[in-house]
Amino acid sequence: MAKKILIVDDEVHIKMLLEQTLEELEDEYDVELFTASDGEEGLAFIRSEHPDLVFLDIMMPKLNGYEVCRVVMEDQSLQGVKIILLTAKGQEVDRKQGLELGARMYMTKPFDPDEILKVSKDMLGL
Amino acid sequence: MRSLSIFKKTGILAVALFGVVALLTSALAAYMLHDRMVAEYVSKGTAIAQSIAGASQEILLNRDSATVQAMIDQYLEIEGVAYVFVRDGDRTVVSHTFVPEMPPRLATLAEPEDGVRVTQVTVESLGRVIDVGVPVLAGVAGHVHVGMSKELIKRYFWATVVRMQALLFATLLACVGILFVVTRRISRPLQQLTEYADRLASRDFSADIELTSRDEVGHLGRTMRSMARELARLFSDMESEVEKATGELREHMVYLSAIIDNLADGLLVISPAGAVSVVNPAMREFFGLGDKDYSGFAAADVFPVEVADLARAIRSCEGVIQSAEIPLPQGRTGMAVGSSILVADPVARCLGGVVLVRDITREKALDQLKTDFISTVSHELRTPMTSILGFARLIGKKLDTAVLPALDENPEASRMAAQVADNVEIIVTEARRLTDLINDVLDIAKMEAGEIVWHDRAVFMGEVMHQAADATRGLWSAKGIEVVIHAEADLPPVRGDHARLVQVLVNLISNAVKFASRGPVTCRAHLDRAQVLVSVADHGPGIPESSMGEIFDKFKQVGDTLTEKPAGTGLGLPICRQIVERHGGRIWVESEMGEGSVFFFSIPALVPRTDTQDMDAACRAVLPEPDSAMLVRLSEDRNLPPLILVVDDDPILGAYFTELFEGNGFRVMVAADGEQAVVMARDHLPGLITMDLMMPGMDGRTAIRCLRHNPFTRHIPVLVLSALSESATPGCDVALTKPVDDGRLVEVVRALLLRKDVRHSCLVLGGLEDVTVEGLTVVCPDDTTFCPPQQIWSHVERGFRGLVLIPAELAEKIDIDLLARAPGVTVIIMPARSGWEKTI
Repeated sequence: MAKKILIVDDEVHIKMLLEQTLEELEDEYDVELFTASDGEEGLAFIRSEHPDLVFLDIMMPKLNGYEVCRVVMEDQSLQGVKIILLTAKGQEVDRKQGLELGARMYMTKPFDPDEILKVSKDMLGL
Repeated sequence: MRSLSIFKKTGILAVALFGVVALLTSALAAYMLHDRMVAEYVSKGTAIAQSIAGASQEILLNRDSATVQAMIDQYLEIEGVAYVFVRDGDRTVVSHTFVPEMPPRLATLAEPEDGVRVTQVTVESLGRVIDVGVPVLAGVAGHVHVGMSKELIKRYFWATVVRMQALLFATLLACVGILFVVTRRISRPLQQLTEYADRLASRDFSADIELTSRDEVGHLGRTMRSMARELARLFSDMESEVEKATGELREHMVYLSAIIDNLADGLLVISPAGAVSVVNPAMREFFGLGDKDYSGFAAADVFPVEVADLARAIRSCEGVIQSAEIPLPQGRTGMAVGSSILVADPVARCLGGVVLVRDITREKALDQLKTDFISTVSHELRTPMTSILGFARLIGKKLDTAVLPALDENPEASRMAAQVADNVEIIVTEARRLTDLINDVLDIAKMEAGEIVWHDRAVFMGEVMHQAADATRGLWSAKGIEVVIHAEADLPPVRGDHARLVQVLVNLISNAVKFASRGPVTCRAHLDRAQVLVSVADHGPGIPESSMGEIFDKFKQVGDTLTEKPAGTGLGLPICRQIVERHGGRIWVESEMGEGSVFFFSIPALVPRTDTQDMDAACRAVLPEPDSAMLVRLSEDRNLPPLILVVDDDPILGAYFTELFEGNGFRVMVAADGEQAVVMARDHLPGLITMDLMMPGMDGRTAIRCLRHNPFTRHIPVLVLSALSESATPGCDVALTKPVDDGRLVEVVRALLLRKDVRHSCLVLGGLEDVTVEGLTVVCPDDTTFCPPQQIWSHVERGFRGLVLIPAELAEKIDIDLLARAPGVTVIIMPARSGWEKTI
């Protein structure tokens, strides 16, 4: 079955960047890419599609990344969903909060596309 | 009064003396008078008697008694003559003057044979009488007796005594009178002086004294008067001084209390016993205390618990300055700072403590604003940077992978595409520089705002230096400059944030590499007076002395900013300074133009804790007693790859690490808890242990402690992998926070396995024949030396560190206590040969 990666970010360019970066995986492996533009949309997708990996921005309209992360982690049926928080907030408290909520990783912007690729592969076991 | 008392005393003395003198003189006079009169009466009587005797010789012979009678009657008229009688030779009284007859006592008087005879006789009617008997013609014609009355003498005598006494008494009276007058005259000025002195004593300096006498008393009075004037002057001077001082004091007190009352900060003074002594109006307002006097109240009864706790901490002058953020009424926030009041003079004593409370609501709000600003800027700058950098990289990548190969046919287009690729690379580089700048600006802003969370633990500077060198490898290897690291062996750790200290060294090394014209860049670390002193020396152009102070300021770089292109953000050194100073250290530079620069920083060393030899109870439960024999239980091929013991209670993570490490060419064993880890480490002596901290049963920290207690596992590097990295883990070599980047983890593992200072050396006393070498190679995979017992000390003096194995039969030849005290040396006595062989 194809592995699903979801990108949730309200910044169109960042979304595009991540999409284009991860397209490489789509070409090489059995991976499908999806995007969402805000927290609500992202959460709805996670609930319906159970993606394997989610790149989740923190500062988003409607529902922020922390909240999405919390809901996902509390939902027993969503246990296999790995979340990588991706944010421009570089404060120490943010990092701690994110990890306490159960995110697998906390990556700060600007990020290296190669690193995104590598982390994705690691997380998906590719 | 006083005069009377003087008079009384002198009077009694005078009377007594006078009385004695009077009695003695009158007695003497009376005695002399009596004596004199008796003698006179005797001679008078004798003269009378002899005259009668001379005149009456013939008459007596003629027996003419009438003539005799007429003659003696005449003598009776003479004063003092009591009687006269004459006896003839036959002792018959011829005539006498007695009326009517002679007392019989006189008739019995003996007659003197020759010469005069004086006899004292008491006669009834005449009293005491001196009888003078004189013979007439040697007694032949008879005898004449004249009686002289002694009663008369007695009368004279008493009359004289009485008159004398009367005279003396009169004299005495006169004397007493004179004495009285004299004493009065003497005592009057004395009394005046006394009264004067009394008034002076009661501080009545208006009193005066009239003195006319020129004697001692007058002199005394005058002296007293001048003394009084002097005293009065002194008193008035003193009074005005005191008044002045009091005034000043009052003014000062008013000034001080005005300061205290007008302090915007709340002030509370606590006595050493914990009672409130001063509360200023601001403090009252902060805690709504009103006007009530709270002096003497316990601080805990008046103030909230936070203030009371602070007060308790400082009042006995034992602690240091303490501060705490405390909630104030109406949702405001206060910052309370407490310090002790210590007085050094005249004797050091503690007067309690003082707590200052400042309303920092506004500051907090500003702080929050700053934090928010940093956060926002961070976000707003990072987001576009992410796009720029990310897309530039993607473009570059796609050019390389898709466009350039497709243009192989068209050299022009391919040249253009290559140029585009170069340009994109420039965009990437510049974007990276911009990102670095943003990161540095945010970093320093966060440090200044106190936004950084520091992960303090024991940090080994040698490790920091190696990591920093590794992190900057790309930079220095590209420039062909070598980085040399000299870390003093046994350098004590410092307490600090490992990552931040690495950041400092990365900054210093990359600066050095950047400016150096030739290699090497030398990093040194050594202990200097309880400070770990680190230096980074380069062979760069050097820094002019005028700039040395500035380079640690923000946005300052050496060189002419108009002509020389800055080679960095200019924030590296200020960040270094912030970090070093936060660790209680100091950073500075020494430089010589044209020779190079040396950057130094020093951080206080952690005082090494004395390693207690007794194991924790928990450790002892796992490892009963260190059994020397077990060290040679194993016999393995030393060419096997290094063994890593993974300790994690999560089986999935265990499997994950196994896969990761095995994939990198290591052997792996997994332990699920601390207890298992300690036993497995002992039995298999891995080259490295990765340790989770939170585990059921024995946790990671205890396990590390046990490992460090066992001489065989003490040297094994421990890498802590935990989700909690905030708290320091004593005894671990490196700590990484989960989730861990795989590449970095493998890198750290390799570094630890290769680290020279953790290599385990063994020194075996005796020759090869004494021990079996095969087993030892497991314990001491790197370095085993055999030496005769007498040479052990020269090895230790040369700085040998590691295990010293001593066969039991050689143990007596060595001072084992002394050996065990040598730094870095662990002594193990191996069982006797028989036991030794059995275990193999």
